[in-house]
Amino acid sequence: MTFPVYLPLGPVLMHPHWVFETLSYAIGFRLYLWRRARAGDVLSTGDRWWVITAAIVGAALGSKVLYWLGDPVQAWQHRTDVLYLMAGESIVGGLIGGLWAVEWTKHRLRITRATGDLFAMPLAVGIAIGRIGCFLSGLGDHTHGLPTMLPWGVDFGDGIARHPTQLYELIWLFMLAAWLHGLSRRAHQEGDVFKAFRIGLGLHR
Amino acid sequence: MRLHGVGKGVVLGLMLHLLQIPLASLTYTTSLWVIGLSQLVYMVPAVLTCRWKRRPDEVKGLLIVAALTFLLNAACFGLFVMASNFGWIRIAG
Repeated sequence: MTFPVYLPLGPVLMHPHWVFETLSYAIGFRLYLWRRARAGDVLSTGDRWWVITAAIVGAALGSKVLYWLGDPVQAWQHRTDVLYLMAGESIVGGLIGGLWAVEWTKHRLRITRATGDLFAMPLAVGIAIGRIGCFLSGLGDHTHGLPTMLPWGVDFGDGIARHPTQLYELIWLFMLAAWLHGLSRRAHQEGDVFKAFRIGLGLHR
Repeated sequence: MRLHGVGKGVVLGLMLHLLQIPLASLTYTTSLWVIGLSQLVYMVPAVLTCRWKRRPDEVKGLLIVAALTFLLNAACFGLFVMASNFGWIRIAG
């Protein structure tokens, strides 16, 4: 296997990261709609769309800001280089930014109830699907693990077998999604499922 | 969940992205590389217009399209730049 593993779409070879990130948003959203139809919602449709919009916009900004803060010296040195500044993002930054934006929006709309339970399982599945793209992108994605002698170590193209940490996270996230789905079907306090998602993600990281 | 107003905003946002074609020819494709930023040229006026016309659902749709475009651009931009530097970008056929 040669990394990155390009995916053919007609005559064009698509970069796996773009393909799987797009898929993750689409599938995550469909799962959310399915969960909402089955479980109902504590919010009106209008308010829910504001919460969704805030989550996406907050995630976009948070993912970028935390990416810059991950290496602030480099970011400062390249502060006038648009090409550098536009590259890269952080999943944790996306989650923090999304959470902050949702809480701010809820405050403005005077919503006091917990609203994250419907997002928990779709988020876990979405991140897992995105990780397939990270794995197929290889070394350029910088999400691989440390070198290893274990038999399942993956050579991403530089002759060194490394832990496929993207696949570890993918397996963990699918297990987490299954657990969250089971949890949401049982009697629970409002907000517990999203708390469980955050704890599950934190435990893995 | 009804998509009416929000769906209209999403479709409007996607159609506005067609403006990237003339933008790309004006900027020698640079605007496409930074579509997350260059989209502000038409997204900001569109959002302000919808707000002014009191169409909050369309504002939401436009913001969702703009944020997803920014995310996808940020995620893939670095990889594409790296790919082009190392000759990884290939078009089959």
